[in-house]
Amino acid sequence: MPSSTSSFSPGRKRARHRRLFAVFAASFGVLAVVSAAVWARTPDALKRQRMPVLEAPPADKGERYLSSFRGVSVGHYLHFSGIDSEMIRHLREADVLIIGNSRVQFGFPQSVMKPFFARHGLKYYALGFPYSETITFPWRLLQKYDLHPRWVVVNEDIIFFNQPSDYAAEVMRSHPFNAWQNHFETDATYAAIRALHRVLPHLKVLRANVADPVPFRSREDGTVLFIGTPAKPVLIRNFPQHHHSVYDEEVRTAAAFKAEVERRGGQLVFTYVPKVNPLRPHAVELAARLNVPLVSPVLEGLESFDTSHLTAGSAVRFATAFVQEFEKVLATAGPRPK
Amino acid sequence: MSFISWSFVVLFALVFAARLAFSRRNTGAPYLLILLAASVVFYGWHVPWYLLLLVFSSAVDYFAALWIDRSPAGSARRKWLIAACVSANLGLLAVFKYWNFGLSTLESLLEMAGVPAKLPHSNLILPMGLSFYTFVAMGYAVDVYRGKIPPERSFWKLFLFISFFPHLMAGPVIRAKDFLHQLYRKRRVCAPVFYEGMWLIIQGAFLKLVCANNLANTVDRLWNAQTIAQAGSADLAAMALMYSGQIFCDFAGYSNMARGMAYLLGFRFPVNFNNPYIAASFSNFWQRWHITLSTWLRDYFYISLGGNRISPRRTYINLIVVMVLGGLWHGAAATYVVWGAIHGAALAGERLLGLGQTGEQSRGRAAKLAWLVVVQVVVLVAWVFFRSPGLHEAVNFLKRILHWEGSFLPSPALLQMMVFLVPPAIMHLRGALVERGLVPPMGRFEQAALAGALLFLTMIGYGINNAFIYFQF
Repeated sequence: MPSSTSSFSPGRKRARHRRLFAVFAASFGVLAVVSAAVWARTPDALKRQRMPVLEAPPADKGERYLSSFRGVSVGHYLHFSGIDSEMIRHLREADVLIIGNSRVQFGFPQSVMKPFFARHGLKYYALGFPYSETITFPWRLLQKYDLHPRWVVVNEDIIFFNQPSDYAAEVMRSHPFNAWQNHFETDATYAAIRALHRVLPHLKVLRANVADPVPFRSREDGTVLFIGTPAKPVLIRNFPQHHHSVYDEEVRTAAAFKAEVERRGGQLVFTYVPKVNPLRPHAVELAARLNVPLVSPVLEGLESFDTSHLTAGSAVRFATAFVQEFEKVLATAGPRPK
Repeated sequence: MSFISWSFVVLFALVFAARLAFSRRNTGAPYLLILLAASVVFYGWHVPWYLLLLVFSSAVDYFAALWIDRSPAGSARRKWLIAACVSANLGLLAVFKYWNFGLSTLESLLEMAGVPAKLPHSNLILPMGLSFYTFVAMGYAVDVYRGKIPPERSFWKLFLFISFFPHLMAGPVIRAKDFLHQLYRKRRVCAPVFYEGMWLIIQGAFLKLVCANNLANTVDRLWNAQTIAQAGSADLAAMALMYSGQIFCDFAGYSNMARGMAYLLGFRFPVNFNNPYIAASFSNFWQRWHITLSTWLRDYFYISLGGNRISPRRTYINLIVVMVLGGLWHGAAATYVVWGAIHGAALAGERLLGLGQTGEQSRGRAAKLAWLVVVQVVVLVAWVFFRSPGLHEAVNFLKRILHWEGSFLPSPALLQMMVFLVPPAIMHLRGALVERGLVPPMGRFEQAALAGALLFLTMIGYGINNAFIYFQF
């Protein structure tokens, strides 16, 4: 242990301890007060555009939950563990499942999807997951909860690989208790960060293009509402820059998935949510090889905020065009099974 | 459970409250039981069944040590017992850590021999901290075998020594002779201990949350085949430098937090890092980097192999073998083996050339400085192997630096992120000046002022990536 201070009298010791604490507190306090003052004088635009966490609502237990934050995807855990029975009930009742990676989360906003499916008397659920998720994870959910959707829409941007993302692999090995742990950790971190940065800034605000949109996911339909996407969009151009070959493994995996969907009484449909470096030709080729309808409207002037995900405005445009085309698929369907 | 989590904050607050409640009272056993319970919760938090392995490893060493103690010195029974005990511990590592690596290597060899085969790979997950606690447990049994310490008669006290949560996941690699006696003494909370503990925790949290996490953001994002193929040489050199800073801040940060928490709970842990990037020789580097592991390898492997007592040639071989095993301890991959081999060969070469002496009269100042540069460049090259996903990627990375292309300065974005190398650089520079007596060690008041500033900087500058690199080992 550190050297004893027994040579001091108790009174002198106490005074020394008080001085030490005062130095510590003064050092912290001066820096905190100065930066809080600077932060308070910062223009609102800087605050709001670069720290979405300040604008986002608290992570409460309402209809939406904080689905991922600081590298933890609570959505993965909650869907797999089944600890949120209300959410799983909605998943089970869905007539239409929309499966994919994070581009599905950004590409199908509730404001467009909900009124469309309500008009047709159908329930839908968006099963989009971050971390470049492949088909394996949602496929496992399909089996685990014995889902029987009438349509399964898959965003086909190289998703048919029979291996989950590293993150999903970890989730699929986890216990429901781990889901609860991650939910608690994420919400607690979020609350602490929101409280802290109302007083003190984060160094990130001094750098450009650093916004981390905060995703809130609906328990009812799985759509994600992102708070605070950055301002500088990139235009998505509609010409193929990359044409990835369709691998045999993809065809095999996609065919097996199609067979499973049909066994469950559903129809497989492909879509393609645009991004910079488009992979649409890949989706077109795979859809043709499997004889699966492709609902993939081609629109001019769509924008992405990070080259990979649609901006909120472009997502509304894309989803509106998607549901118009999807209506044709619905029209060809037979009567609703009992 | 990670130190950087709210669950841990709650757990530690409860344990520290118990420490304060039991202060100055002769309540050793209840307090130790609380520590044991906290350690069990800490380890079982993510995968509870891993606790069985921890209990198994502790039980093997507990009974082996008791039986070894009862056997006459030098008897064959004693040797069989220690061999069985070491085999059981290494067996755990072999099954959980090296099984798939061994099979993959065998498959490659069979394919080279023209007999391709698919061998049954295991799906077992590596239990966290396994490499650390098997070494801690094995070290205890060997110390009893060597007659350095008596066996611990109480199983739960031995179990607490092995599972004590501040060191369980990523060290320091604690020795029984340094720890067990601390279980039996009366403890009281006193201000200097509290200050020292808090200072270490704040310093560790700053290194981890601010420096390591922010560096990790850039390094993890860019260290992939596509970026390496396209980046300029200066960018790659900067990435290597950033990774060397990241791994230091990550691991030294963790070690400092572990030591600080142990202090607050009434225990003393050894120093694990001492400014390794000012080391002027390879042997000096290993006296400063992961000190508890390097001394463990020296005392239990190197000396067991004969150390430097047999012949010069055998000494060189022993150095290389021990460092390769040290590399393999980090992970079951060829990159770790090469990392260990580089350090082993460097240590052997340094010894062969007589360049290891760091005394004043050994060499001229310029020669020492030149050797320091060589040492640090080799350490940096070895980190490239340590970080890369495969040997091919590491060799490509280094080739692209050697065939210098592009600007002499890294890109502005990288330069901006290199600001997080400044705190560890200042720390090393100050360490060097203190060692040479040019500046005095930091006093309590300076520490208090700096702790306030570091706490503030941690609150405004933390990065995202919270995973500790050494948790995977």
